[in-house]
Amino acid sequence: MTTRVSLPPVARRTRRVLVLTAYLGYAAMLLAWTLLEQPVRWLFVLPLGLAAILAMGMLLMPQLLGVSEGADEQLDERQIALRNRTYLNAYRVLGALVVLSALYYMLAQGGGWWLPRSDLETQAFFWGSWLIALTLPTAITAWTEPDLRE
Amino acid sequence: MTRTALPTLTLLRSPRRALVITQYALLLTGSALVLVFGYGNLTVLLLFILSALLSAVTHTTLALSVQNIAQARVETLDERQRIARDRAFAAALRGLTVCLSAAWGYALLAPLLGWWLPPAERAWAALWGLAMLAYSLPTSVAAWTEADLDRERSLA
Repeated sequence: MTTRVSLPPVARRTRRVLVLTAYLGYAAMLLAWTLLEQPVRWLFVLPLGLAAILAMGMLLMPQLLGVSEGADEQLDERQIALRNRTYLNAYRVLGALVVLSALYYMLAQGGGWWLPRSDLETQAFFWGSWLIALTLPTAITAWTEPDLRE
Repeated sequence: MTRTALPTLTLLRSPRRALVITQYALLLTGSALVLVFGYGNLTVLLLFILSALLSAVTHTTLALSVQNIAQARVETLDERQRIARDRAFAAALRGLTVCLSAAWGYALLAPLLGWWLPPAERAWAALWGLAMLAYSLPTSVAAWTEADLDRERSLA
């Protein structure tokens, strides 16, 4: 028996704000951590980090956004086709990022360019790339899927 | 628009699967050799290059056996191939995410738990392996999952 996801009406504009909050919030939090001194640092880092984490959490639960994600049994044919096409685009972005990162690392080692070396830089790189890998398909769907009334 | 015929190579699913396993065994061996022994040793370097070349040949064979659907332009694919390609990318995305998560998780936990980590100057070999995995995975998934069309047609 197949059950279809009931789609709560989350407008595309709201979904796009969520995507921007997740990625720009994470980048802004890292910038605030790097550039600001204590105690002002925490005034920025905490709300930015919290907003980014909440937004990424929403992107990890696509059913909350009412976008075409989930197992085949939960989706109709249009949604499965849309989801698979989104995964294709997400793979191309993620695959290109992995290949370019590897290329940059090889060149940076020889050329003395910047590489993440401190604990903060390493952690920021690992968590950032991990979260991007996990949330990218939903972020692309949330950004591109039209509102139902369209 | 005229559809361009793609070069093809007919292979049954079992040899395709054997080639997929061979490809990643070669990739893993090449990366592991450099990670463990470094590339200062000429033998290791030659074995690394040899494994990379053989892996590339294996990948090309696999790509031809599935009409190169992962890299082909969309207008050169029919409806069935498009669906197969989209499915292959969807599965490859899950696979790549799992591999990245495992690699990052290991790299983060290793210093805390005293596990082995390669010296920084050899870490490129691991990233090279990940990059090749990212490049080849959709084709490998398609080669692994595509049915034996000729055999199915003869049974039908």
